[in-house]
Amino acid sequence: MTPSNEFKHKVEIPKRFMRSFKPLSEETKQRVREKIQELAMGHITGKSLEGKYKNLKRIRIGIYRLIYGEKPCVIYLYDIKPIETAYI
Amino acid sequence: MSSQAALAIPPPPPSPIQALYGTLAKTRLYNTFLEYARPYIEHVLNEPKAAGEEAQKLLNDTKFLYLLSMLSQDAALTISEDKLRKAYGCVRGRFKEFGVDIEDPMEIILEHELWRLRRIRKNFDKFTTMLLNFAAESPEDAYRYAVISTALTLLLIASLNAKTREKLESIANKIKELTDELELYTLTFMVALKENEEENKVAITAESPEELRKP
Repeated sequence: MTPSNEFKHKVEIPKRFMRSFKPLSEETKQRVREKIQELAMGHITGKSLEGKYKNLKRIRIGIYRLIYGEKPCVIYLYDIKPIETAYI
Repeated sequence: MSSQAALAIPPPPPSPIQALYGTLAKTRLYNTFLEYARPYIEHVLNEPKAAGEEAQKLLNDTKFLYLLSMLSQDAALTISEDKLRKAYGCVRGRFKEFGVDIEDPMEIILEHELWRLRRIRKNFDKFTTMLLNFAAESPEDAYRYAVISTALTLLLIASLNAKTREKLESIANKIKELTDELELYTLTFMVALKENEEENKVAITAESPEELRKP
């Protein structure tokens, strides 16, 4: 039996996600962590991207989108991105 | 799914806000485009839920596709971020005037349009190669992308002619539905252009909430 403090799915975090996650505010980071926990416990699921990227899904967290993939027993965090409409 | 999906290369998707800008600017090209699309726009104004069906009819029309190709050339030469924002502000203001909330969907459309414009200006060859690959690998999804873009174009232009709050609400509801899908295409294309094997390598794993607090 799985202890209650362990995830149902292992969470894999690549470099890309780390780089996008690092500059977020503490408040946003906490909201993202909570959403990842829900994903890892199998409580929520996102909408699939298109074409050959249908294996990736997105979940909204305010103005951010968490992009992740699902493999058997694994959640792979692809990236976290804000809606980008600012001037650059 | 229409017979168009069987084509190796689906029709080119229009840029909704660019079309809106051209419509407001009343250039000769856009007057021709508007004249041609008028029956479709009027139908969408009367029945916003039918925007997808009207878009499919237009995409089966070779003269419309020719016009789309002209619009793309016009966009490459004349459109700018400021022009996109101006058209965006105009339509957003119209919904706001009637107290209809469309902020989130409009942000999704603007994000898509800005991203597309920036990619075209930054590396046109890379952008078009990505889109062509997408169309070749997933023609049904690429066709759906063209339908969504065309339907949004019709809805945004129709919104300029809507006279009541109820009509604008109905248009806004359809726009919301389509932008849910558009957002997934934006993210798909962003991912497709940023594929990098090195960045995909797993750096950390977490099997509990405690381990998740590390990054």
